[in-house]
Amino acid sequence: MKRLHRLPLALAALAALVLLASAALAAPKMTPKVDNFILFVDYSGSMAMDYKNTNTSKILMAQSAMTSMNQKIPALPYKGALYTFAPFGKVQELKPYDKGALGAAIATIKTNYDIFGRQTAMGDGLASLDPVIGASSGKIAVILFTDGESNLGSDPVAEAKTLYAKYGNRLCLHVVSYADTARGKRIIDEIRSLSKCVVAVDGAALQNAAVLDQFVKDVFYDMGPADADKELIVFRSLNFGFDKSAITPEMLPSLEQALLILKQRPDLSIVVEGHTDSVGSDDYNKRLSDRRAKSVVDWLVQHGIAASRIEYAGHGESQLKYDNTTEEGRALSRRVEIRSK
Amino acid sequence: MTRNLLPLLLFLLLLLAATSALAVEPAPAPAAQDPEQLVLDDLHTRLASFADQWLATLRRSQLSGPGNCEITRGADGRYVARYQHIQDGVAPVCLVRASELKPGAYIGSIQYKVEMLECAGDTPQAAKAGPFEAVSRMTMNEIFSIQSKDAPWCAPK
Repeated sequence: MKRLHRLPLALAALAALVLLASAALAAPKMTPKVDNFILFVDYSGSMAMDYKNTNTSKILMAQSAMTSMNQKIPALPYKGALYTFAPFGKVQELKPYDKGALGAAIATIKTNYDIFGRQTAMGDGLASLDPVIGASSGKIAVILFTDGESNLGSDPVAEAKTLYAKYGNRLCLHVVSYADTARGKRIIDEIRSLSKCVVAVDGAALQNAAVLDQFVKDVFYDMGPADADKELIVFRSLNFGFDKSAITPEMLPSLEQALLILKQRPDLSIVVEGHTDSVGSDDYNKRLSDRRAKSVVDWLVQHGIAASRIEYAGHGESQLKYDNTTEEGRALSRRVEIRSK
Repeated sequence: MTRNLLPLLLFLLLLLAATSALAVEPAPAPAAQDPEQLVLDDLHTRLASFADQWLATLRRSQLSGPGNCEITRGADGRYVARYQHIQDGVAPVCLVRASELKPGAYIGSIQYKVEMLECAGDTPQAAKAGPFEAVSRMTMNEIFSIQSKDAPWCAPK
């Protein structure tokens, strides 16, 4: 009699196990994208000032962003830290991520301080972070919360380049921008442009829950799309004349920029592709786009890019990406692109 | 004599102490306002403003979208619908620099990410119905140039 009663219980337990296992299999797996992360906060006088036309200081916005971000960061096996710069300081050392501990550390960030005499040594701050990064192992994301103002010490862009040169793909410097001056915005963009791993987001945008969710996914865990190390360069100022394919002096600055990019990436093999709009015959457009792509290739080769790295192709109107029923769309269609192979 | 000098000495000591207390390490002089840096700042501000309009132009004119997907059939016989879209919520990265080959001209680049979204289904209709998921991202680097610092960043004609 006792054995008969145990059977339904055992079956129920087995069913529960199967259900749990199915749920675990069905749930997308969160794989940490990094082994470490550092929240790196600009603690300078300018951050204590109100952001644009709001009545909220930038440091308060940054603290709020960090608090919300910490709530979203999943509990995965990475280490987390909180540092400041201007002045440089350790609030929480790099240690196994604990949501409560990091939240408590973030709460200690002062948001009401005297702005006098607190200049921004962002470059020096990045340089000071070097040993912290160096002492870590694996991939590390540094998330800067800054307005980009840098009016003391070394050049922050140069320091960021030094860090990337030293740590390569191990490091990614994401910048959450509170910039409200031209110089601050430019410095931030120059730092962001140094690596394709960077997720570029403005502090005001992070107040949107969906943007914050996506930022956390993109920086911390790998459930989203792979960031292909592929880049498509699109020339928008190569204004070839009607039925023309010759390079003119006005085109030199654009070609110069492509040359710079290709010289920085000697590993890259590329295809230069010409495209036209849909006006004219397919055959005419194919031949014209072919000639234009070849002109660009010839120029690049004359200026030092190995011919073995480059192919070219004219696609004419066969790969329309834009609406050719409008003049705007047709203008967008007329272009030369450089695609990495 | 000493007693007569004492008040003076005390006064001098107090004066010295007060002067030391008030002395503040002078803040470093602000970075020199390099005219070329100011030009680059202005160009960057204008390019960043143009970038927002540019991305809106691209979104408006691009053919690829949920209603206009590419459909392919995989080796497993299933259909895959795919389209590209400019990633939302992420700020474009703008760079400016002076041209070396053409003095007086400037180069601007606008970098942003494009996602490829896909959905698989047993029929083309099922694939097109979604839901779509982003499967890869690519960096777009759009290069513009202007012939002088006063020229506007603009869309091609």
